[in-house]
Amino acid sequence: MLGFLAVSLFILMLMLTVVEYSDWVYGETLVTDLIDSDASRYLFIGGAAGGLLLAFSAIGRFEKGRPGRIGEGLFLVLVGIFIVWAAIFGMGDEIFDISIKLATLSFFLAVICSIYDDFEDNRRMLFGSLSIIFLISTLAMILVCEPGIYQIWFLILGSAWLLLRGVRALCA
Amino acid sequence: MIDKRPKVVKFGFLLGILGGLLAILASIYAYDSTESSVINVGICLLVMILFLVLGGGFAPNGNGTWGVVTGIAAVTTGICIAMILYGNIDKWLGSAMAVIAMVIVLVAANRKTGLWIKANRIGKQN
Repeated sequence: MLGFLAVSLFILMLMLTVVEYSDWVYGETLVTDLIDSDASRYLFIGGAAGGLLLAFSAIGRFEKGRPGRIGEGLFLVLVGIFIVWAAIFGMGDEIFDISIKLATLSFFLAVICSIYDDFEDNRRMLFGSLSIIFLISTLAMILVCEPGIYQIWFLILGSAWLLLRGVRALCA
Repeated sequence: MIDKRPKVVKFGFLLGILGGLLAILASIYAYDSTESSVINVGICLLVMILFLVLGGGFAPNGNGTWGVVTGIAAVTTGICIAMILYGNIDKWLGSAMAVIAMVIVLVAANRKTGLWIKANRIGKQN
């Protein structure tokens, strides 16, 4: 439930930022340009509150005897913490750059752990398959596409993946 | 010999073969008599192998557990999407292959397929 709230809040704030930033051009404006603008306050609020909620939601994922789920929860907690750091320190600070990189890395590791958990004992094959498709296409996008395209798509696809996990947790 | 496979498994088998044939077609289109196009042809042939492996996964004497078949289907879909993004394949052919791979994911993740692989295929082979 908290994960669902975290992602919804982040998406809402991202949309508000894009609406407020009048020079937004798809494929040309970088997310870092958004962060550097006056409209970034929404993104920072969304990032800080969303990151905090995500970290708390991930604590509930720790379950004995399921290493994949424990790993997923642990890395999602780290993602939440790094996003909060990035939102607190802001653009231009060295900690901001490191936090963003570590948050991305932790997110990919969380996806890999979740794939392991889904495929272990044939638990949730469809969700696991979607995670594999998400992982490969996102990595391909980062390697192939322009930063203006892959940055925003990474945020959207990553949020969609987290939303899907939230829905799955609610259904369970 | 009577074919006792569930309909969904037969459908997956046919889709695997169809995907493989489309990948061969894509490899022919990808070749434009330059050295660099050989890489594109190679990737298309890799996808062809993955599709045919998937088809084989739904055959009565095929290999791979339920998880392996579903995992390979997901990897194939991811590679098809990556190929479209990279632009080393005709985008319509690539989209068709990606859709076929996604349907194979649904077929592979189906509970009936899982039961058939565990009980009828692997069970009988053991």
